[in-house]
Amino acid sequence: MTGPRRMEQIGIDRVINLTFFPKFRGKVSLAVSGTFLFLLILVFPLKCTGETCPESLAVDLFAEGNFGVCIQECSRLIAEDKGNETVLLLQAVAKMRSGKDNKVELKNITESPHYSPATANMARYELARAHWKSGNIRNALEQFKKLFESSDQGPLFLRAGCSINLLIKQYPELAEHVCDIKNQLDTCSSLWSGKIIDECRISPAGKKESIAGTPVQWMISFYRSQISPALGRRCSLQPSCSEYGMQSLKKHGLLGLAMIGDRTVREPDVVANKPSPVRIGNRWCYKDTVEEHDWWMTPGRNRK
Amino acid sequence: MNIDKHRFGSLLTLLFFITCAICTGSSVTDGTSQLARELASEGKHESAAIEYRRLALLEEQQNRRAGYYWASAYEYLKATKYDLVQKMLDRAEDNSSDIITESLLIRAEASIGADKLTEAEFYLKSIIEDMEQTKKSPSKIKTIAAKKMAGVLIAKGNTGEARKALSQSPVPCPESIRAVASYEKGRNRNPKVGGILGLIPGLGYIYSGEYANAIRSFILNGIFIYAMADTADREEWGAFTALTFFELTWYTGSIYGGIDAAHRFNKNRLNSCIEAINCKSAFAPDLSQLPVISLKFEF
Repeated sequence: MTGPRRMEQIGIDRVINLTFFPKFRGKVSLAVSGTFLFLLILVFPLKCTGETCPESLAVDLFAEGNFGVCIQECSRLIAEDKGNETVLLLQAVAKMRSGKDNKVELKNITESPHYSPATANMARYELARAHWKSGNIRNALEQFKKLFESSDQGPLFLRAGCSINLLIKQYPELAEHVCDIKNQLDTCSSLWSGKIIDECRISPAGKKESIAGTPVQWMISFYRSQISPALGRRCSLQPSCSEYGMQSLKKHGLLGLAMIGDRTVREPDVVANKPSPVRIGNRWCYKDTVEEHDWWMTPGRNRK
Repeated sequence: MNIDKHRFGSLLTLLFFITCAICTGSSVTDGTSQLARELASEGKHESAAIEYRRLALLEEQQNRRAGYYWASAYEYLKATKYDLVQKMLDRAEDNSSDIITESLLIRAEASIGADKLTEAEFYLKSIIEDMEQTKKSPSKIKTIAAKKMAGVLIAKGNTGEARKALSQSPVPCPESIRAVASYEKGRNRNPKVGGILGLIPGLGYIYSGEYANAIRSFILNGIFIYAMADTADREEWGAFTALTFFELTWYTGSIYGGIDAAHRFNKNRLNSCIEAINCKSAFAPDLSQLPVISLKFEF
């Protein structure tokens, strides 16, 4: 066989069905929504049993969010077995998670005749979510709709429907594009459990940063872009005082101003004590992070 | 006769292939094991941990697999990936129950690193009590556990219990007991007091013994307050506003510094005490013996 091995041969249908068994729902809470899907596809025995499966290390690394090493591990597995389409899919998604815009690779998987419909549908789901995250809502809707209409795997079908519903709630102008499947959506809406809805939801923004210190951040940005290049690196600490200021202002708002004041007073002492030297360019700097000076704000912390 | 020769030939061929397969498998394992050791010695503990995980996956015998998972946990501990330490130890214990004590030791270390002191106390107590019940001989493990336990109890503010834990150590550790006594004599700084004293620039730093910082804070604030007063006298309100902004930074910095310095003082005092209790005692696995776990101790 020239193309990737058909997933039917390794029982992927059973795997997909097992993927959404409630006993594994605990893993949904893994930080990245959507990780669950791909994670659990591979947790189950594919060609072998249990944790001794060669893919299991790649799957574990993916689940741990160690995407860089996961990609390497997938490359190693692909070199050994070019037809392992589960690993190919995992690698594509890991690249996506590691910040690389890998929509093209996912699109190729969805369109290639070498992949089984099950793999193509998995890739389509991830592709649609990637479009949604990047604000490309029309493409996201198109992919979800295709998946909703073509998927014969119950869990994927439900998630596609639920995602369309959430997308329309977020962007009501898209409603006119789903008139043809509205009845089907209404019919299956009763099957969307709270967990499915949570899993499908994409929050528009991550952790909110404090905006109270924004004017000071502008000043520091101005210094960093216009003045600092002319002066060169003068601070002996890592992060530099301006970077430390930016971080503390983002994290603590105006309190960051006090942290900057404290840092400038402490700098010579830190340099004299030489803790954790870091080589930057041609000079040694000394580590002095925001976390070392705000750890006591977190309740329950005793010591570093 | 010809048939027998044919059978004998087939048998030889089969044996040859089996030997080749075993040798190839063994060389892969040896190579990966060597790579893991080299990565660990280069300080690339996370990469070493991944190689040990790979070895665990390749291993068919449960006891040996447990050893590799344990080694992976140890490397993750060195890489300060505490969640993964617990995950690897879970797997190690799933594969073998013979390494419980060694696992508990690593679990306790990981819990201390992650600031989960109650968990660490539980694990260390398990080691000490288990050894008392089973009358196992490795007194070195118990000594290490007792010292770690004392450190945890001190971090929780329970110096009496820490002293008691040290007295249970099979190897006497007078330096550690002295360290606890010395810690008891000293006094922590109150961050609230530090903050209030920081209202007078520099005084918060002095409270925690940071005299150089105090002088710098005092001089900076003094200069800027003087400049503010001067510009106000001259009714130069633009300069006054700019100076006020900077003075606000130094002044709030003085208060914040007073609080932070007190926390820093307490943390340093605690860490010095724990260091003195441990008194250079440490353990490390003999990586060349893996997957058999053989701990080396230093006192």
